[in-house]
Amino acid sequence: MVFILGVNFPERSLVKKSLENFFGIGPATSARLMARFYIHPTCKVAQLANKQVLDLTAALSEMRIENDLRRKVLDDIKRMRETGSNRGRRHALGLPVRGQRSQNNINTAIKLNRVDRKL
Amino acid sequence: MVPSFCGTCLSRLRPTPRVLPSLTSAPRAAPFHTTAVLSSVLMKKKNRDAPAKKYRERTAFRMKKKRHVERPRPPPAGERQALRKRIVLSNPNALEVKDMKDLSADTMIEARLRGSVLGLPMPMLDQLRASGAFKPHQGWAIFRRPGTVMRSETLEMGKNFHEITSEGAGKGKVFKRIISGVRASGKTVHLLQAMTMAFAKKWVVFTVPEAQDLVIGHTTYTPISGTNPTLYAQADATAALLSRVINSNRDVLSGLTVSREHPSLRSTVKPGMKLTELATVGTTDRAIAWTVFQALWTELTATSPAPSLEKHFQPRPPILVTVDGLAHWMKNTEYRTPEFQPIHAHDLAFVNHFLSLLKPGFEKPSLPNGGALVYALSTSNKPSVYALDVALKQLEARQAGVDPKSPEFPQPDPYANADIRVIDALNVPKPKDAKEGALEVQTLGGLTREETRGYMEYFARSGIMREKVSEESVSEKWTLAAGGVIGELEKLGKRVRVAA
Amino acid sequence: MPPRLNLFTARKAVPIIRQPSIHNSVLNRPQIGLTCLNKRYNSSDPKSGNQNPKSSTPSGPTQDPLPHVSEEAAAMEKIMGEKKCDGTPASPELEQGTPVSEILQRDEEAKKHMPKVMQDQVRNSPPSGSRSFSTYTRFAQEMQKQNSAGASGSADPSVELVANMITDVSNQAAEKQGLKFPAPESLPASENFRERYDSVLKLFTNMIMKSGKLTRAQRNMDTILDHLRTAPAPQPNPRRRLISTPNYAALPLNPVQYLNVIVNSVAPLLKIKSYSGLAGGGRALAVPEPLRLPQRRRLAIKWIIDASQKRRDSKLANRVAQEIVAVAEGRSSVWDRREQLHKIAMGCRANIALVEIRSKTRR
Repeated sequence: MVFILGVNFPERSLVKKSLENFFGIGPATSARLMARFYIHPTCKVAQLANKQVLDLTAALSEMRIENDLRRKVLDDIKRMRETGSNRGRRHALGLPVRGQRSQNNINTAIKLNRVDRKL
Repeated sequence: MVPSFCGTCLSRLRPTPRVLPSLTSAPRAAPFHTTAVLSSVLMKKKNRDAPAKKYRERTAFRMKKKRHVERPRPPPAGERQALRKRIVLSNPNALEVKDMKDLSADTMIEARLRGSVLGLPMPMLDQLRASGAFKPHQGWAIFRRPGTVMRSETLEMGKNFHEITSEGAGKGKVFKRIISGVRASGKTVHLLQAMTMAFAKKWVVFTVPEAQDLVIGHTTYTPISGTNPTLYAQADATAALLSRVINSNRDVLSGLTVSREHPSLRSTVKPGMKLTELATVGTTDRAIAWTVFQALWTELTATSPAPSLEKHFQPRPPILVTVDGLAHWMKNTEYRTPEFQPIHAHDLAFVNHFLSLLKPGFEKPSLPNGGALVYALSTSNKPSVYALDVALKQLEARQAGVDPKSPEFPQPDPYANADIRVIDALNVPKPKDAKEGALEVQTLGGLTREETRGYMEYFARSGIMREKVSEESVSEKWTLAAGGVIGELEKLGKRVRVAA
Repeated sequence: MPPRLNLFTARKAVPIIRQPSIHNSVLNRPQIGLTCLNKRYNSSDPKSGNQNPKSSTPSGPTQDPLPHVSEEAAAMEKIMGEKKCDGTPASPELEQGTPVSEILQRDEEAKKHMPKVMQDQVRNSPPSGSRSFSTYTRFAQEMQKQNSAGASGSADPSVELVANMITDVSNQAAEKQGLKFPAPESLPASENFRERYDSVLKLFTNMIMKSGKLTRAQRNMDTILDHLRTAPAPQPNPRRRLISTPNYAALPLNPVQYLNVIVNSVAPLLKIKSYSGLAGGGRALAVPEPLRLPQRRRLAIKWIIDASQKRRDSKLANRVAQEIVAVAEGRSSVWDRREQLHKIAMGCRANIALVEIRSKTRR
């Protein structure tokens, strides 16, 4: 078991997948992160050197991920609502935000677009 | 208006009380039906088969819930891979081929044996296995013992190897070949034969059985400090190479000792140490594997001892280097720099080292004690690298004697964006040293009909092919195998047809 | 007596048979096309009927295609060489009279008094020197010979050499008649690409095949055969012996035979068919029925493949191969299935009679 940013990952899991576990890190970010510390794409967590683990943790702690990112997204929506912008209004109404038509097929918007968005 | 007769039985109906039925009274009839509640209950025909329908139950088709099935546990990690990569070299059911000769130092130069199948020496099998010479699906498993055909190319190689080792003008020569050929044309087995000959001649053998493994991002990589442009060391791959070298050349290496100082390995390596021990340092501490490999290489390519260390020096044997799948080393790898730029294969120190051997060495040959470089390259299953195609054409042209400055010399299309590094890597000028042979491309085609006959006889004598080996049947198989492509011949020899 | 040979058909057969007796000269002629034309013209010439082998087709509806009775009898006698001991001819037809044509040949006097029809015939017949075939090509040949002789006379060795070569080649061609390469003896069945593989092997391969992917099935079959080749020879099970296999140890050497033996050994002899209404009252009765060989084999292969599906190996080829070895060693459930079927068949064998009775009453 290896701790990366306080999260415990099983040794057989891929570093790439482990990094993508964090909210805010997708394939592109994880690939760039790994390239930064010379970790090959198919590396498993068990193969990481101690220094690499520490480097990764340090890099991750500087990034805006997990709760910081969630808070930022919610703040952004709130700000838009408060300034009375169209996007803020659409969020409040639970309607599509980016100019999509709203006659049909807005279930995703209904599900997601709220002021207190669930992340 | 509700009629006072029942429409079906014409009986007068009791007027039903116009009160709301209590919720507890048993079945409720539809409000528009005129029959009495009770009689409707009596008249109801019981359908035994259909399940009693409940109210407010959905009537549409419902998916059955999947029941959890107890499955056997998957095999433990690594077992499937081991099974997949298992190499079986013997079939006790097959007949033993009588008076089959072994591929040895004597037989490898006998032109009489052309077309016959020579067995690999049994004591050498472990060495060959350790150096990764065998691949699964090469069809070793159906014969009593592994054997290979002596084709004309093999004999030619045997002759060259013999010259390099024997006393004479050819002693200490360097022989450089790129073997190309279509799928299943026997390139890997050609490398295997080269290894067998080298082991028979007590050479040191370095093998890269899968060139692809180094560039697909499956092993660790670290930058080597102080190199410009930055080179990358691959610790695991180098350690694996070292362990192959130790296991397959144990006898030769244990007779040689470290003959010079290695400042970068001062703490662990001392002069007088056996070379096997030197290599083992690299396999145990992978972080310094690349440094150890460099030290081992300088030791093996040394022609004379360092001053004041003469007592530790023994003459170094020739070296054989084989690489299978060279084309994979001619393009960008899956590795990335910290700036997220792809790393070119030639920036990997491992790859760079073995490619640089193709060039003539500075002042002395690239292998000063002589030896051979045999690199195989498939023309069927390979990454398509335009620059490599051009470079090979250039090599062939140079081999045919075309002057590089003449207009007939093939040049890359200026608009095709050919990789300059690839063209440079194979752009090998004529070596100045007489001992150093020029780089050549050899294309392995099909066997000749005589060789095919020998191969088919081997099948027949092993009891696998139950047909008469005649001029006709050999000719038929030769044709069906695309002109004697040996892998296809193997399939045909194995496939059982109706006895005529 | 004219031979009954149709020259039309004979000419057509020339390129194939090349009978030297008739058409050797035709072959050696330089201008084959022309001679054929001439030949054709002459042979169908009705006026040259006397010397020419007559075509056997009658020219009119009333003309008898056969010669006169007495002529035939004379010919027969000539062939058989028979005569009675008193010197009289053997056949009654010869005794009865002599053909008119013979009398006319002998007797010059009679010719003058012969019927007008015959006189006309004699007058219209071509002169004795005329031939039924053209002499043009022969003439051309003579000319060629003279030319070559003249050339040799002019002492040009190269021309002579060429001429010699030509004659050599033509002599060789005359000697070597027939096919250039020996005709193949009767081709074995396996040379037909549809019959290339053993019938059981083919059936098994086709039954392994899924979604019509024959190549994949063949690859699987190769793996199965390789497994049979390399696996240790099966231990004989005394209760479940394979048919006609005295030597179990030799089985892996011939995997196709191995497969054959397995399939034939577990193939059921019969199937159970249920006849409804046989016992009266609409009840179905089970009646055993014999199977043909391909049917038996098909069932056996189906059972083997079914049984192999319970195995754990992830590869189909390995599963089937292991099942085949299990059958050889008598461990497989396929044997139970076969025995069960045969037991049921024994139990209901009396019902066969009912089927026969019914079929008789129906008639």
